[in-house]
Amino acid sequence: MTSHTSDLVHEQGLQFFGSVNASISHELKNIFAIISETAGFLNDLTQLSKQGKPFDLSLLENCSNSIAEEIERGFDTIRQMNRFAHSVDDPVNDIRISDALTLAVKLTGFLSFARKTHLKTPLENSSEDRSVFISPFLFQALIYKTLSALYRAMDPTAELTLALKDTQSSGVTVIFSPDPPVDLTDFPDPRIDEVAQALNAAFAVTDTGLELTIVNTKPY
Amino acid sequence: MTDTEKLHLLLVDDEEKFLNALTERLKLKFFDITPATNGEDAIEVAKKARFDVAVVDLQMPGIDGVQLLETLKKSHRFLEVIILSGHATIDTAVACTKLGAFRVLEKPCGFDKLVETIKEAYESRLKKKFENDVQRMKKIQSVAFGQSPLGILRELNKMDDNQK
Repeated sequence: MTSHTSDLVHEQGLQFFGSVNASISHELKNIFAIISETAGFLNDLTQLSKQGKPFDLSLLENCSNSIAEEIERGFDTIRQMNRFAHSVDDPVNDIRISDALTLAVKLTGFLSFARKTHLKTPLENSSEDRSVFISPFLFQALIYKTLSALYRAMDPTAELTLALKDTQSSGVTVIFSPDPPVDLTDFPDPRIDEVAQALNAAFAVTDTGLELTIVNTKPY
Repeated sequence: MTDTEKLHLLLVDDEEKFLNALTERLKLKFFDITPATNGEDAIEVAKKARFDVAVVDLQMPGIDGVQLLETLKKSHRFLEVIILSGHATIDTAVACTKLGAFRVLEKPCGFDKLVETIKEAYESRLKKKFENDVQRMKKIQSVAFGQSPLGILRELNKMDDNQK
């Protein structure tokens, strides 16, 4: 890792780390709030039952299903948090592009302004999927910041599709296609571009969206 | 108890399961609930109906809680708005209070605490509405505070009128 890359980890990385953790804690608070209110409602129904007041028994089933679903949602959130936490284990490492994209989509999904996003499936079985020797943490930051910027530019009902395109023997391009297309004339902002350059990656704005080309990749 | 005797609450949260669970619980108490999963829908229903208190999430797609708070306070002079959010920080609490929020609560918030806050918000609404009505103000102030929050709400509700 160069000293410039190391500086970027400290300058932008900490902010990114804080932002991700804030969104995860918000997600967990929401999950606990749902479980808390649903458990409270179960208690209310128990009190009604003790008083001999009738109620629809399907409400009990709905409550228990809801609690089970929220616990699974909590586990999934913690799994993503754990994967993200391990992105700082090594300064540089071999990472699979599809894995990094999947995690970034999951992490940005916790943001209130996230848009419905499709990974052109199955990325992991795609012949275009590559691995790259890179800073896992900064690469995650790059994809996360790119997705966040796109979500902010998109309408609430718009959707985003991510796909991979093989560009050259040692490179791969991530294609971000918002539907409907958005105005990206000011993209990328200098801070995102700085991270991209440090990772030997480059953005290109196209008629339909955005492309991010990463070089020095190898087949996975 | 008829719907007109109940307190009218506008509940706004994009977490649908949370909204449903809280709606069901509050319905069992003294409240007539209108749930909305986004700010746009909340503004639409608030144009047509009278609400005593609104409980609003902060971060929602589209119109967020702060924008909704501003809109509701402009169009409903006496409506009290409680912010209930997982994003509550000191900064947001200060900002929302400046915009007229009655209280900022952090999720998950205990049900009893929420009901108690709704009671206080409703009491505040009545005091603002009837500050020049000496007789009614005396009655509002004389409501026994030894009662449960729901008991106080019932007493206060008898003194209200239909003005938004």
